[in-house]
Amino acid sequence: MSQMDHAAAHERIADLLLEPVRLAGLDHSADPEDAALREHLTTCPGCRADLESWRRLGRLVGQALPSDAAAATDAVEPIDAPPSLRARVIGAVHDAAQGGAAHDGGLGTPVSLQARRAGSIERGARRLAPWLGLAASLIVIVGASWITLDQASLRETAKAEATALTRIVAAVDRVLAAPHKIVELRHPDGAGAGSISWSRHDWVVLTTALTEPPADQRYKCWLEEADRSVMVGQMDFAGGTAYWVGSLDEWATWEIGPETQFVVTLEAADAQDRTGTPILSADLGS
Amino acid sequence: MNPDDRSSVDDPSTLDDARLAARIAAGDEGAFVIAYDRHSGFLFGSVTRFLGDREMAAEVVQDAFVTLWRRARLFDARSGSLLTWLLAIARHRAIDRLRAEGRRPTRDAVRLDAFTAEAPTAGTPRLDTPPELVADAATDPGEVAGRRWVQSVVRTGIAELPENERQVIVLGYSMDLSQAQIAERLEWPLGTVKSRTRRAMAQLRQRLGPIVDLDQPLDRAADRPAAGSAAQADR
Repeated sequence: MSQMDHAAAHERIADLLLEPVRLAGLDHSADPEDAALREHLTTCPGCRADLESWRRLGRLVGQALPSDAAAATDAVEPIDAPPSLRARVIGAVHDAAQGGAAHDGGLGTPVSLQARRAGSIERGARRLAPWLGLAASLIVIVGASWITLDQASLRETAKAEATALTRIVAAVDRVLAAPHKIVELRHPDGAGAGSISWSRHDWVVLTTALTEPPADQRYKCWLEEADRSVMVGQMDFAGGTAYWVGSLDEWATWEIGPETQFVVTLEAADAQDRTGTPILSADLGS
Repeated sequence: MNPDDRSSVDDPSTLDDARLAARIAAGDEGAFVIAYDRHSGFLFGSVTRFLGDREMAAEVVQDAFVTLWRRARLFDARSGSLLTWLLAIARHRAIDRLRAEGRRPTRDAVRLDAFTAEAPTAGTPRLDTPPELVADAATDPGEVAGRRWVQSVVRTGIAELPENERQVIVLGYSMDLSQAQIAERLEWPLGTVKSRTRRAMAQLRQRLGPIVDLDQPLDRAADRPAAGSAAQADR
């Protein structure tokens, strides 16, 4: 068997790439050139990684396509975004910019999506039913007030809080159903104050240690390391529970390391930088 | 001004992801429009294939771009491209929409099958149910959704290819035809089939590599975490 160099190996890989069956069967092929390539791969991590990368791409492409040619052709027909979407998106952002809602770093609702969100509150209330058992301990806070006080005026508040609780329960369910991590949220003196849990995509902070702040202030959430601090959200309230439910996907370019801290501070509502002292914190890398 | 920045100022469409995101974070609506024009097509194609509903996909894409506008300063180019970031946001939103609509892929293979076999809306390619997804549905709905998402992204990558390159990929990877068989079927010279296949695969690797992470083992690539923070949750 002849010795194969890099150039020849890459040429052979390029040839194999033309036919997925041959690429997949490389390990068992009796072809002398395939044998020479296998020999080269045993001593060349670069070519081995290159081949593996092509193999993975080939498998992904193969798995993405139906085995029927007509169906496969349909599946990869170009899909163009409707021209009206461009105007919608740009208009939404323009509205947000004009309304001063841009770059708040929180989970506030995009201006142009308010109407749709209103509809989702109705749907959320309907979806609450199956989760009543799970949410009961929190909903009792809402219910107790609802019974004794003005039902008409508090109904909307209760419904909004129930929707929020539904969202919390759903997020907790998602976190617990997936590989996840839970750390304790603490007061500055080290006393426990709540918990933070997160999975691959969801993030839930829950505490009963906070009371609602004045109207012009917010409890803001920060990720911090020695030389870096980024606001990732702010605490909302449902009854006596302060919470933040977020998506890791939205700020997942932050690499959580052993020194990463989650910090809650009380700030002016429009603050973009941290000035307050930590009220609650957690070691995410612990 | 750094001389390197001059061309970008003269022609904002040449801005790389990091500079584009920085401008968006500073409130530059023009930069946002460039980002939209650059990435909306791939995003919309992927989400539409995943959801099977153009209107719902449009809402998800709008949500993703509004999130970009509001959170651009959190983008870190060292951890991935802007498209990868937008896709991660859209993926999360799309799965939420399925849950909200009660059409979420679940542990119940029948329900997954029902979801994927539903009639497509006008202008939307039919979405089939690959057997491996139905088989896996009994195990983990998150995994099923993850694989379906990757499938949608890969299909969108193929859809971006020129038509004659799409044809050789479909025949080679869907029907397992050899290059000679493809040449015979399409009545093209064998050398033309080979060069188009090579170009197509190189383009797919360049486009999809940063998104689906070809350096990960396949089972991980199907539900690749968006960043190390998520990966850490697995440990």
